[in-house]
Amino acid sequence: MDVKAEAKRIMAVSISKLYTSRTQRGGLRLHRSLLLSMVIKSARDIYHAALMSNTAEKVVPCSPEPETEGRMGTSTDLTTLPDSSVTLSPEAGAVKVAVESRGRAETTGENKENMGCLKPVRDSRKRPGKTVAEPDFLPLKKARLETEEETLRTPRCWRPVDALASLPANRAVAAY
Amino acid sequence: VTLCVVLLLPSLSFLVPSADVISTVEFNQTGDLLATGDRGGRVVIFQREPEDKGGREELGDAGEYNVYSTFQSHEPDFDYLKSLEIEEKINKIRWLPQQNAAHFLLSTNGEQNKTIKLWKVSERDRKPEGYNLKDEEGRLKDISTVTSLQVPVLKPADLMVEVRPRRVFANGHTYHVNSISVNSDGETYLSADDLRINMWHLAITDRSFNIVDIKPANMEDLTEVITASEFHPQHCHLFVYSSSKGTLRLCDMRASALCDKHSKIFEEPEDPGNRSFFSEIISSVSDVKFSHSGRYLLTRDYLTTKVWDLNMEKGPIETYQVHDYLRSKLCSLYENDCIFDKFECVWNSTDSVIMTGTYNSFFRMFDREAGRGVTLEAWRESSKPRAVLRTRRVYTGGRRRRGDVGVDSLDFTKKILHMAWHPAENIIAIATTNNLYIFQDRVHPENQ
Repeated sequence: MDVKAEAKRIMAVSISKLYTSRTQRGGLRLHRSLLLSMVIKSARDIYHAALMSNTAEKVVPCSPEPETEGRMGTSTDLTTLPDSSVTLSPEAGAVKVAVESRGRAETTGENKENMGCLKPVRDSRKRPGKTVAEPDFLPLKKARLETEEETLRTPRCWRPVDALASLPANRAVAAY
Repeated sequence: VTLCVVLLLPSLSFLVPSADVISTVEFNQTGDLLATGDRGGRVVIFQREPEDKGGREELGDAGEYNVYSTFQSHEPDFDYLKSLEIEEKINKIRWLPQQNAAHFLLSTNGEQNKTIKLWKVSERDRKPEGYNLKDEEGRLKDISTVTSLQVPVLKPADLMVEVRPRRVFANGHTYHVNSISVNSDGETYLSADDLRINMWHLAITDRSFNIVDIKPANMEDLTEVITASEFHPQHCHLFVYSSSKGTLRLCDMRASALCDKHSKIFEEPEDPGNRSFFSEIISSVSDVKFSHSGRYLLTRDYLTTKVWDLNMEKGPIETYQVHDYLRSKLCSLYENDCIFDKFECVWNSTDSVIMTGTYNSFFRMFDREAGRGVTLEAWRESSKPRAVLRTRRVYTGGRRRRGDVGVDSLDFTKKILHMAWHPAENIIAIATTNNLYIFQDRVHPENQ
């Protein structure tokens, strides 16, 4: 539980840093934004690992995806980053978070190519049956914390990375 | 290595705190000139007074650095297209090898799309007098009063140091410029930003060659950026660049025009036991320097400084812990942004000692032969301008000694990021927030 709280806090701090870096003198700093997005990714993956190990006993595997199974099988040492969690399409998910926040700033700059990144996020929002918990680590959502925890614990065959990946991105966008 | 404090040189206008934060320090090739750049876009050049060979070094100003010239290199600017303020902070200064009486230096303000400038620093100690058509004040003479012709002569005048911009290398970069490095060929230099490295010719300002480009086709795929770059000190075709992932890439410009493919890649496999939320941040290399011999590389990441042998790619040959007691504090250092601090590292003239900064106005020196490190403090003891620098210690357990500083009492606002070591002698320049300290070793002035 401590690790989850820690991960939540770090993600909140990181997102607020990303937000304030936009208004900083001298404009957006690519290196710093990249490092912040990596911390967000790390924290999210560790949060997931903690979540998975908590729900390991309760989940009835109904045609579980191989990656999810693999992840649950890894060590429950929550302080280390399980390698398998990295394989569960984290790049697409994680970078969505990073790119959303960077993309926002960079579309005002010279990189028009980043305009395209907004699309995949919107698509995933509309995916039916995937509208699971909004991230409970952001202060605005505190009121709904109880119900979100419950829905997260319900066993189902979804890909948690995608769902959670899209929402923080939206949240980050909303924050802008 | 013992150092005696000979001269403590506080910055001239330390009454103006924010514009005065020193952002770069660099000796020229002889060590007679020391340039500092600050956050206000100003460059201050110090010159070493010629040493008196008559044995009077203990008295007077012989061998000490005094202000030689001050000029505004970069002005605050505004990018109207992107509605961004462009910082005028000087990121890097590099001296060119001296070819004639004048000195040349390159300065960059590092910010997006901005300029690298070449400055000529020259002395004028003569004035022409005896013009035919102008009088002493420069006013035109009445032609009818001119009855004979004379040849103007140069007469001695007060020494004046002139600094003039000779070249402006603009629009070469889209991202923040983090490094400039003059090539050993004396004709070219490189400038590196987050994603690209360009090579310029000193005489040509409207064109540069792009030699490294790591920008991915889709920015979503970006995983690392360039953090520092330097030319090899002797081989004009070799250069190195470091990345935010902690890798070093050695590139050979003879291999191809675009050096995206490295000749050698130096990386150390990550220790899985040390994995944390912040593993990526602390492995990012903040500075890379070739040794004077050209055989080794010195790198700095957040917690360590490492020496690499160019002949061995699989890992560093030496790793020095700069402030390992901070490893358990990474979370708070992340919150207060200290974890993003970019420390520099330097070699001494014989490559036997390496030095880097830390917090609380401390800096660390590592004797490579002995394998030992020492912590020193850059602090102005106004009562004793000349005294031996005492070693300091951060208390991390065991028997506590008098003078030890606890980890929680460290002042993280007093960071030493920028420093330089004289190319031939044991003289170091250390920049704290807005003070410049120059320490000289009077016991062993030259390296054995």
